[in-house]
Amino acid sequence: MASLHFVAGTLELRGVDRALAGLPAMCEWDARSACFRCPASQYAPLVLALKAIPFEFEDSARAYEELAFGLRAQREPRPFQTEALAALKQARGRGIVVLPTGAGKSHLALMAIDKWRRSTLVVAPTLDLVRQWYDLLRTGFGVDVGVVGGGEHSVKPLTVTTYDSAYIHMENFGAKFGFVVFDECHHLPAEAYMLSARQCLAPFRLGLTATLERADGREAVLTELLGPVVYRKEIVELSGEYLADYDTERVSLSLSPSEREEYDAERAIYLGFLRSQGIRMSGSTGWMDFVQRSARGSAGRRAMLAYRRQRELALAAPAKLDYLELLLHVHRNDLMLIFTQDNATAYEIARRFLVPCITHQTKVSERSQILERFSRGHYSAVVTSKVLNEGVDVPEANVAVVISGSGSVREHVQRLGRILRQREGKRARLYEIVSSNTTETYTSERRRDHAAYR
Amino acid sequence: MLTADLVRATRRGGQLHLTALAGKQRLRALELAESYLGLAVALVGSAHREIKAAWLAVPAEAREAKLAAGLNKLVEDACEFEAESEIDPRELRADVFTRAAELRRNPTGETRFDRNRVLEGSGAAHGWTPEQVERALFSDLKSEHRLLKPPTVSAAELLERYDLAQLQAVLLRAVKVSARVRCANPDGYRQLFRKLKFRRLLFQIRRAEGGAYDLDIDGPFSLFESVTKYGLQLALMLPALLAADELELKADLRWGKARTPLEFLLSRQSGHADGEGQARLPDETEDLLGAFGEGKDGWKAERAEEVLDLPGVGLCVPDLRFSHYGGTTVFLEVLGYWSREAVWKRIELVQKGLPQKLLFAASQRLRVSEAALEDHPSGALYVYKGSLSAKAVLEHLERLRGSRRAG
Repeated sequence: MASLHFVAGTLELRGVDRALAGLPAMCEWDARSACFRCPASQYAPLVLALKAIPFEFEDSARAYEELAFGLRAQREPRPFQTEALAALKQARGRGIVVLPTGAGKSHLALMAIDKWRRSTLVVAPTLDLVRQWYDLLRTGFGVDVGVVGGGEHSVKPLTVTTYDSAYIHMENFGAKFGFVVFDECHHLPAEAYMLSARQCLAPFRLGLTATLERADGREAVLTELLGPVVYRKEIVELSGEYLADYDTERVSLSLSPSEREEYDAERAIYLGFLRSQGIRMSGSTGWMDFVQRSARGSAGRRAMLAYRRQRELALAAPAKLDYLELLLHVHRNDLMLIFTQDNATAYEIARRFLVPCITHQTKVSERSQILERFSRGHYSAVVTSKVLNEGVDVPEANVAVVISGSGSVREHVQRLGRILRQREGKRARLYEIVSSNTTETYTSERRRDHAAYR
Repeated sequence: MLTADLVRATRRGGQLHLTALAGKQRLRALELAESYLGLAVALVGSAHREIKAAWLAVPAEAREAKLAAGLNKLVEDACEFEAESEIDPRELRADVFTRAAELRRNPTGETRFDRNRVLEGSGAAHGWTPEQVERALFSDLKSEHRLLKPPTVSAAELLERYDLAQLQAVLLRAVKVSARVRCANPDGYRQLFRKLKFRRLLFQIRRAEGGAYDLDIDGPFSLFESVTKYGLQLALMLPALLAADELELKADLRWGKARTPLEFLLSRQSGHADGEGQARLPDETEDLLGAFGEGKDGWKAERAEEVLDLPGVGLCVPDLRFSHYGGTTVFLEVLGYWSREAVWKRIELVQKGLPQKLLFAASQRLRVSEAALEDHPSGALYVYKGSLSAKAVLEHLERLRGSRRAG
């Protein structure tokens, strides 16, 4: 009899003659192994199509189970969570839900896992989020939860992993899950990550994000990988009602006269090189052209050094750190998250102000400890580079300081979202510290280009 | 291994060409390698970041940047670093940050926040100065790890590693590798196919002229999409391909940030493919060849040059080919006492319909029985004790020819 197998992220239909007509269109003959093959993500449509023929086969591919347990504590869902779940059900368990950070996407996922009750894999972008999902699933379902990534590898009916680990391991464990949740799913359209969605057999799929739109416009591919957008609510629609109110304050600081002089001189060298080479940074290949040409001669190398120095001056100008010192004092009885552009600045702040620091080099257990002590008010501030950028749950934080950020709108919304978790009488505050009259001012303008700021 | 961005290459006409490391430049590379290795030896016990800084200070021209970075990476990979274990920086940090938060909330004296007071307070418990506390605060970061053992390779060996690493780094971006290989003896092919299987790659094999074989190598998902997912496996596979006596390789790449489709060509001939072009078979197989070489009871033996492939099941690489003057051909593969698993694989090949007639010779030490293929029309298993017997081989050949000779 014919049989269906999961092999390295694909499905093999064996024991069928090549000449057999009428097989579903997604089956392609593979001469290398003398069988029909299709991507694992085609499992559900393939099985439905084969059964409709009808075509008899033994299913050795599916390795996921129905969960014998459900959510332990049923929390009263917020109306939009109920609506989103209903929309997902309407779409036969495949789709994307767009909700602002802090609105309770994770709880929606728990509700969905409880609804479909299949072995579930949650894929998240950072180890911090993996840790958080781990805690959520363990307390939510009261079972042991598997983790793949950050030096751990245990696969269980409920498992959490990172996008990077999913890319590496999906070809091994892609048949073990009937439900897959891609958290912060706007990351998925990267070439390598997409493959992990295609190598996964799970018939039920949920994508969660606060900011679906990507700079490269590739979000359309998500429909193929996860299903359509089934539910969407913008940040302004929820503010006040379910999210904390917030104020934003932008602080412009000028460089000292000598820093200013150095900044101008270095910037002139860098811009001069761009002009001499006819490189337009506003063009789509501008940065790549610059990197390539700067490697080709001493003038280029000098221009690269100049570029780095002027950026360094703009990003970590001493005046900014002085201002941060003031904020640390003013908000010494609040809980403050400090965000930096790079690890070096994060460590510099940690050393200078003796506040705990979380970067990608911080071990999972220490991160947990820091965040736990922070939420209990033991520490009044935590400094971090990009690792805490997305959806990490620090509900107690009420002040955020962005020391220097990239120009991406998404990043800023996530940072804002961090301090927007709902709490009684809470009014959050976000400071953005930029250097005046440097390129960073432009970056900051671009960052505000989002509904939350209008 | 190197990363793809450290590959020194140029693009010409849709092809990627590695920049050869020859002449003056090779001498220069040797010089650089010696500097990096020498610094590692001199700086044993120093912090990773200090060694990095020392390596970065080795003067290199802008045009040598990739070469220098590549050699430096291979030296760094060969170094053994370790975190200083005297203190627990994590505990120290927790203590320092807690004291700092407390002091900030309840400031004393005139200053808003007295940093030194925190460091002093924390250090007092260990009898340390504030400076010592500061140094120890993040000593578990990779940049603070100490060099335990420097590399033991010579500069010349490092350059050989570099040459191979360049080729492998190119293949990291390969979506498919096509190779024409010729091995002087069956064992060469066996090694190659075993490694392909071990790497979980898929391939198609075709007989080419001059006793060579054409292989198309990629992975299961490549049927639907050109993916670089198998690049690492292909790169790890390269030494096995280079071990062939002749190799013509073409890799389809997706190169650079823009993932531009490019071709990469490589051609190699090893020394032992020269001369007569065939390596000696193991002694007992050579003896058997000698026994049948001039003809024995209507059978003649010669070296086999075929790779017998049954897609979806597997393949085998016979050692000898026996031809009967009546037209029957039987292949012999000597499995010796290598692997019991291999014997079962061969039996499966026969049972699943490999079209050629085959005789497998396995040592009694593998604890397999001839009954496993008894009376099969196209396959037989010969379990031998000690060494191969020409007489016993002849009996099996006759059985496969269809005339069972009496004892």
